[in-house]
Amino acid sequence: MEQLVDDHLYRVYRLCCWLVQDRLVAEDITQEVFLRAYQHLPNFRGDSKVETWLYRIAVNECKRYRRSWSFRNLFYQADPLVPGFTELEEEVMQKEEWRQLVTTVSKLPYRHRQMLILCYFEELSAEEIAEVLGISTGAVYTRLHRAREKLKALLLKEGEDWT
Amino acid sequence: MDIEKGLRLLAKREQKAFKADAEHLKQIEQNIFAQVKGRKKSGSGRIAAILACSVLIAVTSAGVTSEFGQESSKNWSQEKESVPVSDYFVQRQLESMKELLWVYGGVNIEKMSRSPLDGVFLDAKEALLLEDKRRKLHVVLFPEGYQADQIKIKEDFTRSHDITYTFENARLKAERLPLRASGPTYVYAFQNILFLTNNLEFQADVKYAYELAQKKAAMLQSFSLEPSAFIYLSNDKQGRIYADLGWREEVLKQIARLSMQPVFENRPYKGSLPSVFLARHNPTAIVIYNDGKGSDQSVRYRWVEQTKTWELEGKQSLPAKDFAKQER
Repeated sequence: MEQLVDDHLYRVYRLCCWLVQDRLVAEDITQEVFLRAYQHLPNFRGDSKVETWLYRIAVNECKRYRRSWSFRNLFYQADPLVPGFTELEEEVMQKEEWRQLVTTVSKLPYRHRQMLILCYFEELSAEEIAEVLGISTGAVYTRLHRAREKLKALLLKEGEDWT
Repeated sequence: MDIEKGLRLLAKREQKAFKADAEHLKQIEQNIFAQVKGRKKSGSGRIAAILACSVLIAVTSAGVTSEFGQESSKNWSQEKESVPVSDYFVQRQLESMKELLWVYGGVNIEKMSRSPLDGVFLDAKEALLLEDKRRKLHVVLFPEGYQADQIKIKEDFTRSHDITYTFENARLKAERLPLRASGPTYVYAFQNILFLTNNLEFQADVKYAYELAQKKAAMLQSFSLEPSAFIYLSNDKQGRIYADLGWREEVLKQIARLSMQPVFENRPYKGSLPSVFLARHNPTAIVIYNDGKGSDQSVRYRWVEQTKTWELEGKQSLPAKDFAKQER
């Protein structure tokens, strides 16, 4: 168990932070992920990588949190943070364009944002995402396409021309 | 601008920007191990702990009542202003309790607010008022290990328009006593949780839900399966809960049908109704057959999305065990 936590805590916590956009909540969810992993470790049959298995639990816990009565009714939902800019990014993109992208991604519907996070932020392959979400690889490509299309549409609405 | 390129740059930036210092991670790690230790310790009373865990954590989430804007909830927010509302873990425990009541008892809790019993018990962590469409249930949460069943209610019906009650075997806040009621109060206790209601039917529903949950947990444990990893498939129309876990209606119908078909040769007894359990984190279902007399049998199925069918993964038989006796 110690090994499991040592090896994966950072990335699981990071994924939870990205998914729920609230560090305190992400902390609680991360703990829950490892507690669940501890409970189910004897049943883990090694069909997938441990990391994928943990991600799957994390994604489900985040989904569960977002569907919870308390999240929908009570919790203060902070506006997503819009990060600053680095020199490199400024070189590559127009500042306003960049700001729009960052803001729009963080405001995307959860199902789309989740896909982009797993694919781009976590750099998981389509096969790995399929395992994490329990869907087919084909469905991963479809959902990714939809997420990008949605992002494009929202950016277009803001007057930014993305291809 | 190319969106693909933009997303890759954004990802790189997010990865770089994400900071979790070692000390902070260490703290999270310690919390995990502390909780794991706690679970190991209580291993002997595992079934009870699994069920009790639905609410055994101190409910410090001030927000529970705020939505309903009643007088009591105003006091609540004033008194507990400093308590953060975003205690996800506690909320989750409450959700587990709601789930248990719904799945096993068909009780749909629609509202939660602060109970007038809050502050009456000196040892209580929290007292909440849960409501379904037409009934009310007070839930008093004590610390882990507290035996709520020791508490006895003492009612005074001598004056018909002034029914009062108090409790025995508990430390009480004298200023709040006696409490007033319009009729009899029915009590049920499970581990460290005390339930009170003026509706006998509601008390019976809660009792039934907890007892059934215990029986079903024991069934899973007899096959060395962790009860919290599964959700019982109830015959009632509880579809939303299963949909939340990603199960579609047709998938559930199919496993329900499948569970009624014999898969064991020389099935030792007739008429034993199957109990279907769905895994929470993978597309697996376990069907357990037990009639309280013969041997127990379990069948494991896995949902295959490509073929849209449940495929038999394995079956297991155990020597006779009487769950009804075991419970006693």
